[in-house]
Amino acid sequence: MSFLTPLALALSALAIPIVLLYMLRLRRTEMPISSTFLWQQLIRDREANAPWQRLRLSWLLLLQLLILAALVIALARPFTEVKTITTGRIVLLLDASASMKAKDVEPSRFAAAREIGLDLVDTLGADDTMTLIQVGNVPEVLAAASRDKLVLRKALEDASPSDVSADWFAAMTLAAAGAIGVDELKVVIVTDGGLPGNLPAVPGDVRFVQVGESGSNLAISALATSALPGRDPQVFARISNYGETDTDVILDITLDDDETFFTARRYTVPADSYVDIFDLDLPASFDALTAQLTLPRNAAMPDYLVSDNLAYAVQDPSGAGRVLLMTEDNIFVEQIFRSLRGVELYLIEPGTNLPRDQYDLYVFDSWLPTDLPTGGDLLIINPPRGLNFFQLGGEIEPRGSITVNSDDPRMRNLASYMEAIFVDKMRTLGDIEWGTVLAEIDGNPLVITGEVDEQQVVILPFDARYPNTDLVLQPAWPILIAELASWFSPPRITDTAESLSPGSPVTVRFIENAEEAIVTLPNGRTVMLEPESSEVVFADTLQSGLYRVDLRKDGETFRSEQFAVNLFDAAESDIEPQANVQIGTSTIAEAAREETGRREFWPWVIGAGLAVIMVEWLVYHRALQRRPAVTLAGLHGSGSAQPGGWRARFSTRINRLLRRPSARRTTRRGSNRATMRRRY
Amino acid sequence: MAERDRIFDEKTLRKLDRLTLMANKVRAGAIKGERRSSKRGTSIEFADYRNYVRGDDLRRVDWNIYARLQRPFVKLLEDEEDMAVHILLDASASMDWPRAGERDWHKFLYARRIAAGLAYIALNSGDQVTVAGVRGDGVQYWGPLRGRGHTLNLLIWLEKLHTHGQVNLNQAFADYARRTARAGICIAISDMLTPDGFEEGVRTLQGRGHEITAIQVLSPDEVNPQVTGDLKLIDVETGIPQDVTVDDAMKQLYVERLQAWQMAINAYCTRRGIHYIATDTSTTWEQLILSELRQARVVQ
Repeated sequence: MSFLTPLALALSALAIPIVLLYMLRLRRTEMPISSTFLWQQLIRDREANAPWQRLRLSWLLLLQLLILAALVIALARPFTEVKTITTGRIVLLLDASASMKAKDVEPSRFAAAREIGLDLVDTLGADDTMTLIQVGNVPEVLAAASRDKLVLRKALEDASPSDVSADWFAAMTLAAAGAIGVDELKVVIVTDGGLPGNLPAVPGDVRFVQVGESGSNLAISALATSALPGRDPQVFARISNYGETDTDVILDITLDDDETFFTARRYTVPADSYVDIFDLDLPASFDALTAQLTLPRNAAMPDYLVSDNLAYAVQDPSGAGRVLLMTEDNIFVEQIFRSLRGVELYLIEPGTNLPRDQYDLYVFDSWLPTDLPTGGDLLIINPPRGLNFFQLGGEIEPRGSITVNSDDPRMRNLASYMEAIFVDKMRTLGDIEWGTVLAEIDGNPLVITGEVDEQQVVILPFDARYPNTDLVLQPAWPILIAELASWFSPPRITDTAESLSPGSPVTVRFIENAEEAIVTLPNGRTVMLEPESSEVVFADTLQSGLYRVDLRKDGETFRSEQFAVNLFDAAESDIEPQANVQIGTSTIAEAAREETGRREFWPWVIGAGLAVIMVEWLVYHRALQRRPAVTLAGLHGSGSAQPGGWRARFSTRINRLLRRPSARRTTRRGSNRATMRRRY
Repeated sequence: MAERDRIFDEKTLRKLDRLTLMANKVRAGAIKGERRSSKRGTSIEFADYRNYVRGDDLRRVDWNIYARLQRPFVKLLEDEEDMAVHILLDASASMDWPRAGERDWHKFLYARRIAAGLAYIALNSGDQVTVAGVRGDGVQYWGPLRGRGHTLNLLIWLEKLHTHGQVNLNQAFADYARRTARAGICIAISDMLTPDGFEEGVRTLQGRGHEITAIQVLSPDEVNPQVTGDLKLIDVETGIPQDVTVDDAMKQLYVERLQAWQMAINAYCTRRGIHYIATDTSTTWEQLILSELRQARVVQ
């Protein structure tokens, strides 16, 4: 054992005043006594009146000397020399990706990596520094060039892995930035491997410390749902086996918030291979599904990483994307649908048969099929004939201006644009009680919307071309079509229909004048988003699971939507520890403990000192309890110690006080002698 | 007054009736008393008359003389003599101890009971009794009086006697010796806890012809102290503090010192022909008078 600051041992001289204090006379408890005559003689014998007394064996003294010794030794910073990975100016890159949650090392790979980091901190020299970088999807500097071991330990203890992929490029860039102006930088990478092969070189001496023992892992590496038009949705999933043994696995699927499984099937997954699943039909109405892998009891291999055993998927609610347009060179209609976001436009010549595939919206311009499609919504422009849900009247040439139904939210932004529009010719409509007139001219409906047999229908009874109308040339046209398209199929709140990777940002749209959006994370935590603009980016998606976004207006939720975040990263699921890593052009093997570090153990000494303080406190208070209670009579006999002893004394005094005057009165009044005889 | 506050109860008084003070050297009085003389040759014969005074035994009144002269006279016989009994009661503040706890262990109460008991015996024997309460502010006297009729008066006086101040026993005894005209039995009741001692005073008393009995009264906590720890002991009589650390070894030393001190007193008293009785207040005062003082032949 050696000391970093041996001068502190000089403080052991403080033992002298402690001992002297014990030799000084004590502060004493005052106690009356009948006479000090004999005590004075005794004290004279023992010379206790001297300012100093003979040092007697005292537990308190011994304990206090022990406490002083612990303090002095701790201040001298004792250390022992131990073998360590490296010392000096260290940049520690701590892998905090999902694979570090693997439990092939107890309690986990990340905990083992943290221990390695703590060990490095413990063996840092007096002038050594450490920069701690947690490598997650966004590398984070937890401690920058610190030599404060407490700070470093705290940073390491606060570090935790996430279900994310590690961004090693950014981490290396950070490490290289820390190397600027530093001589002999040591970069220590603590990871289980899985680093990309094309990482840039970093200045300094790079050491690699491997954690992990086994690559045995099963994962859901893909999960999606999709539905072909007119068919129930299906699950597509891939189960990957990264181990070296074929094994059975059970895939459970639950829908929405059901506690019971929708289905559970057993699959055999070959070693280092995968199984694709695409034969599971799902019910038509569900919002989200959760798939989970469970190993059967007799599984041939363990599954060390749990994070990739769960996967989530949401059903794509946006059906508005597929639009079938049947028009004869109406460029105004075609272009406007092409410009709408999220629309997948299909064009068919009028007169041909309708395709068998279903579309979300059918747009018939100046033409109608013999049989209307049974599914999908209808936008009928300039119908050539009436149908069973409306009658087509004669052609008119309106002369008045357009009147807009401003009470309808779809027309709220259109009133000012529509008033100046002219329509040369249009047809009148009849039997349209099912519909809502959004605009009219001379009392004749110009735009009518409604629902017929569960189909949303819009009729524009005029030829939407110039020069019949200048509507198609005005800003009102794209606004009108966009509002109608939104009505046919409301837009999504988020910009993702598929699964996101952890940490990926998602855009939240404040549609329909939403006042706020509340995002509920998989762990139940909620985040409120303010509509600072029409779209807000939400990036707190580090957890795998289902996220729900609620749009609220007037304190009430009016739209909700879910999106899924899944790991789905083969680099993370393949947890086989790597024997070396490639940094720049160098292949770096696992580092050995070759350097000599100093492990200080003053905290243990301080801990021992605190324990001795506790014992000293106990001893002191026990001594206090043994001290006599101070009374006027001293510590006398058993009478005062008995319960109620004070009561007896009190009542005696009261009796005396009460009886004495009585006795005096009797003496004065009556025969003195007779009274005395009665008393004796 | 409650039973427990009495100095005597009737039963003890009856026991005391049978006791009498005994002096080794007979102090011949000017008048005759009930004490049998050690002088031989004289029989139970008439010696003299004296005037009846209150408290005299009515049985000794010569009723024939009373019938003739209408004045009471008491017959004195040759073979009986009275004796002067002096009881010196230490009423210093140190006697007011312990101030709580068992009341019967209170030193001054105990001392007054012994004084009363001895005085009662003396009065019953027809002896002349003087009781002196030695206080810090002077000496309070009762007597000299003779005859059992003064018993009640004595008890009342004793009840009213209280401790006060610091007492120098040497000076108090010497003063008393100078003040008293008639030598006799002198019984000093004290804790003797005075740094100046009492030897000078006792010598002075002996020089005046007194036969001395010293009764040392201590309380149990003075005999065997129960205190422990680092203490500043305050003398209730002098107010002088004394720092002391009391542990088991120190207590043992104290007990040894007390015993050595009492042995020294005993040796001195033996040398001077003084009866010395040491007692603590846990011994009942009846036992002290009826047993220990009897064994010491102070009473018989």
